[in-house]
Amino acid sequence: MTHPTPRTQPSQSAVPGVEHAVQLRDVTKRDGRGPRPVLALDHVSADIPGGSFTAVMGPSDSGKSTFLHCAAGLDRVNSGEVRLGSTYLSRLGEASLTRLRRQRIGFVFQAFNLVPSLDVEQNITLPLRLGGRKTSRAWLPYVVERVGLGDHLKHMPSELSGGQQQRVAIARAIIMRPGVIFADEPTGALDPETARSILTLLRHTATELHQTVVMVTHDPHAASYTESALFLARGRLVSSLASPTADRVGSLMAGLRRDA
Amino acid sequence: MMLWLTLSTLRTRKGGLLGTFIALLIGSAVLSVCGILLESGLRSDAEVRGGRRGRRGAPAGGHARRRQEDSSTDAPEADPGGAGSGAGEARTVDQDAWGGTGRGDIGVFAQMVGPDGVPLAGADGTQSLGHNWSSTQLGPFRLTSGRAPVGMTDVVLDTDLAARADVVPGDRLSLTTGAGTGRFRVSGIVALQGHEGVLRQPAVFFSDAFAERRSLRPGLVDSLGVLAAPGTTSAELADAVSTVLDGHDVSVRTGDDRGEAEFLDVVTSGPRLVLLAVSVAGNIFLVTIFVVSSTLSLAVGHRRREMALLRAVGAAPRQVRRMVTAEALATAPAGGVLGWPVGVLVVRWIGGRLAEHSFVPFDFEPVYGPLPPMGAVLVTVLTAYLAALTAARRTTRIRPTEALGEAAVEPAGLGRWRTATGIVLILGSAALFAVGLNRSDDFATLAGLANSLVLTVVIAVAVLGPVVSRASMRVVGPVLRASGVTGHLAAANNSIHVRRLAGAVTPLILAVSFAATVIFAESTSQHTAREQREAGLVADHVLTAPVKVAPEVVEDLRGREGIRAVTGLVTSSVVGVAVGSDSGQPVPLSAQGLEPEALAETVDLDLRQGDFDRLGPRHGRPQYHGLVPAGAGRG
Repeated sequence: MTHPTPRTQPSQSAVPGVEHAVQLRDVTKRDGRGPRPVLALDHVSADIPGGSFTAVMGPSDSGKSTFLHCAAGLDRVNSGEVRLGSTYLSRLGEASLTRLRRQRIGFVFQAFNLVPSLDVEQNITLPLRLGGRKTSRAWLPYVVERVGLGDHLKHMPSELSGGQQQRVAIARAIIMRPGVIFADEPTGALDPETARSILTLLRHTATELHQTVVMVTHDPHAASYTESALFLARGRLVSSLASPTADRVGSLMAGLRRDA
Repeated sequence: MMLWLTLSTLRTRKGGLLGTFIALLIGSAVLSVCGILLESGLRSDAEVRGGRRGRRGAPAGGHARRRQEDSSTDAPEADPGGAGSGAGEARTVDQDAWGGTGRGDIGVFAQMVGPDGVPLAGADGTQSLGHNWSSTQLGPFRLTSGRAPVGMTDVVLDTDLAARADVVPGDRLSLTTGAGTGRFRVSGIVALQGHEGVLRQPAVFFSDAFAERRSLRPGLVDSLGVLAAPGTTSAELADAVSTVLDGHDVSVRTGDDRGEAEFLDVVTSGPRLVLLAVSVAGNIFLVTIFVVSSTLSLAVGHRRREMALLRAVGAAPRQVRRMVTAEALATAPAGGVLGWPVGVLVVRWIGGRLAEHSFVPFDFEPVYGPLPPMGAVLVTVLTAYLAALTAARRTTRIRPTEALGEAAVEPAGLGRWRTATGIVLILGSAALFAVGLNRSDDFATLAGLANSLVLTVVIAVAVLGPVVSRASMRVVGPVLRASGVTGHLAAANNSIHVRRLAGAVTPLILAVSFAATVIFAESTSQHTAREQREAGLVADHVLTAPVKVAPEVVEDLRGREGIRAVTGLVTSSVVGVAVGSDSGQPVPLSAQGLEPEALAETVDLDLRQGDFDRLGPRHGRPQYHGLVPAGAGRG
């Protein structure tokens, strides 16, 4: 590896091929918001290999957001098991789950990723600070340089473009060397060219830093950057593609929309 | 850690921070005011009694200062319970058997009149009081020039009064006494020994013979001062005096308590200040908590998504809560400390207002001790912390998934407990209101009831805030919508964010209702008192003068043709101590002294029980009617 070792504890699952970074076993999640409960996830099982870049796809209300919430420990499942590395999330209390999110999961959201009153550096090191840790002297500049934010450390989020803000979010996700980075429509609010550069950055994060990245998206073009794609429809895992291309994903999605 | 986050985020949220800061600053200022008034109420009382305050030299025998110069012992004083003591009692006391010398003080109405016929007032507009010459020994007052008054037209003034009237011994001046206005000759000028500056009440001394004839209470002395013989302690003397006077309606006071026997306003102002300070402080404490927790809750509402983001990236709920409390605690000390000078300024200002309304003595001087500022800062920080805790509680309900693009949905409706609490409070308020309507107690009780009523209603409104604002939006909404596009948007926004609206409205409701209670309770009682006085006055004409009308005028009028009945009337105040009350707090009551003859012709006092014929020099019995107790006096 060409980069310095971070002081934070890297997850074992970051080593590719050895272990699955995320495993869902027979997961059911009821969505209680509607007039009558519907199954947002209906007995879903999935394995996401360590160091991979995976897309989770599906039309609206297919359950892909719920998939991400449950896999990332943001929401609890009604039945089944979610395993992150060797940890069973359903067995963790709220405090342990919070610590797990801080140390072993990175998040990149579609928008509003950053605390507006903190500058770029403070936003990137936020998870470290929350855990009461110091930033490694070598690791932070390396991450900043990798995501291409060299000159912007002291800038406020409001002074950054949408693409730059997403880079800060990715840097914040990488800084803890988490077991998995979850990205929820990370390019949804970006123009096509910026989106391409962000997707490239996410792919390099997986291939060069050996970080597992799970990206929820409905965009076939975004999915073409990943190594594999899972397809959800009406809460069920209906299909998967290895080395997806935009065309194949597009036609598969069109079929799913017709069925929905 | 969260302090760092708080401080880093404060920079960009100056608006909300300023709101919290100002609320805390005002809260601290008012608490400082209450603290100062409380300490002044507790301490000035004692100081007056101890006679340590420069301006409180007492002319009426100078009880508060007496004996400080010529004896180390504090001499006891026999206070004839407001009724005056018989001259015989004075003689009883004036015996050497128990090692003391008694001196009676006789009060005489004496108002100086300037050359232009306008009454001359003392410093701060105080009215002078006449005394018998022999009472100067109690001060002790010493002649600085001239000689003692001997003849019936001789008079001695205190230094300040003489300077005011611009007279020296040998000059003549006009004085209104019980016998009307007459010319007097200044025979001498006295100064209170060991006392610099202006007397609390300007003193005019007449010869003993004149004083006895023109006494406000003929045949009686106002109080008896007893001077201890060398070697007699004040406690021994007090015991001896008590034994001698056993059976007479007289109380004996020594040391600090002597001031109470002389100055009625001092007796009541202390407890009044304490009462005011405590009730205002209690209300302000609650109001500040509501205001600060509302501003913080508002801030939490606005930053809901930011906090969800923090939760998502691994901030524990406790950390987010601490971030909110840290914000309050970071601003509280500054607000608390800066509130003190503001409070001092406010006290300077309201001190004068309070004196104008005779709430405190004219020479009221606030005491600035170290405890009130410390207390104000401490209570402010405590207030901020309690407020922040309630606001921070709301962050617990923020789910981390809210950061993932879900709309910031406010939790709908009220919790079961909150609804139940609100309903109980509403019912309680209704009960209080019903009790208040059905009782005709004295003003203090009803005012207290009104205060508690407002407090329960306001808390009920705060608890049921969202329901109240939703209901009010139904009423106000159409009006807003009719007022154009902006109004329409405001209405739409308010309808959705009912809870946030409630957060903004509640402190407003609190502040307005609190101010309304304080202001209107006072003006209502004054209005009622005036109405009662006016309703009680059925006479065709009322005769008044800048100074009081001499009693002789009444006699004069009574004989004249075309006049059916004349009643002399004095307004005064008495201090009552409720029987059976634990605290024994003196309650100031307004009173009217009336001549009993032909009373029904001139006044209608809404007599509830008994009859006025029984009113006489020995049958004084107060009759309470409505809010203002009318003391029946002697003719």
